[in-house]
Amino acid sequence: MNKTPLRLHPLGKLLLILLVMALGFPCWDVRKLLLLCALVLVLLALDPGERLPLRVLRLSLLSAFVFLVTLLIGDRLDMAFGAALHLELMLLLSLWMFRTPVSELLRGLQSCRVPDGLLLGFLIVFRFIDVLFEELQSIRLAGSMLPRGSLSAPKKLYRCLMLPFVYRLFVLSDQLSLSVTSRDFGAAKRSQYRENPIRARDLITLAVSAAVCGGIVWMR
Amino acid sequence: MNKEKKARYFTNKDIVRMAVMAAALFVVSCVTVPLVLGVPFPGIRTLACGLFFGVIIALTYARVPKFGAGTITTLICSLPMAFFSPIITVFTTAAGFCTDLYFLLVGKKLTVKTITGLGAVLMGTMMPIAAAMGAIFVPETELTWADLFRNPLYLAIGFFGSLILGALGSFLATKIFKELKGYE
Repeated sequence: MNKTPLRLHPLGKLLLILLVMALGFPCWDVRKLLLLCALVLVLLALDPGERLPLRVLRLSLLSAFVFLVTLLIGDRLDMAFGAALHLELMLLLSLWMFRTPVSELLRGLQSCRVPDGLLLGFLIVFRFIDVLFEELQSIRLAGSMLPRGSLSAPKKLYRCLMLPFVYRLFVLSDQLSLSVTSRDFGAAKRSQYRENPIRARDLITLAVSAAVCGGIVWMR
Repeated sequence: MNKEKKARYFTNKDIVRMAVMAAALFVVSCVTVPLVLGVPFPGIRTLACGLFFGVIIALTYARVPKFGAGTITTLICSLPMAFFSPIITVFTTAAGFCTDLYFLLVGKKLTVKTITGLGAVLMGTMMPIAAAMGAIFVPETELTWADLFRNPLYLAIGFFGSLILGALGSFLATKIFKELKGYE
């Protein structure tokens, strides 16, 4: 049986993310921030995708690191928890956003009449964040093959990280610009193969999530 | 059709180049800024990413030497950050616009000196704008005016540190560009 994914419409996602961020950022109550993170986790679980627990665990490790650093520097437990949970919320929301397929996001933004040039730039950023992280990872791995002490730390940063990364940036941008030029992007109005209208279930999910989020923030 | 294409100030190639650089800016800020997110020091975030932002903005101008390249790159980079806080989009784009004005002031000439100034202007304007906007719009999470001016030395360290790191990054970019000249 062909199941329809439970994914929320991209515009609904954008609105909900802005709402959660607007309500969650001024809040420093640890309990409320934890509940907001739980809400985003539920939304993430409803979104079909691979390796979700592993990714969430990685993000949580980063937040734990920030918690430790803030605790060491600031020496205040509530502030450290607050900073780590704010980061966790931000990372979970960005994970939720960045799991949206580019094609779906494109259709969503096109329906808002975003100019084609800006749309192209935004989509490249959106797609290339993952690609550049992978590039950084492979460059770091290649650098780790060097014998220890062969280069001083700043020299190693320059030779083994900056230079290869900039080179890859140039190569990737040239390949992509060639591909965009060969497809004659911007020559005519773009049409859509498959429509992605906002459905009733998107509106219901949006309204329920917004209400839950508001309830969490304003509860005593 | 060809006339229409020629009339465009930024070609598709320029947009793609700026977008890839914007993605690099985003990746750099994602790697560096969270590490100092909870540190209550004015300008700590611009200090953390200053060197790399300096490198990338200089490379952007070297590849797209047009007025507006800085504004568009920072705008595209900061649009996904609007999900975190719309203020980030505003101060990053404002700093990009100041860099564009500087580029116009130096007559769009790219020498080692002017390129070094690109990073300095970007980070030197980003730090005060970000601190001021944080103090005005989100004093609950950012440093307030009173916190900012409690110790002017910290403020000066944040400002001049960001400026110097940005300049250093852009200077480094000129070296990188020389090394990769064969590629161009």
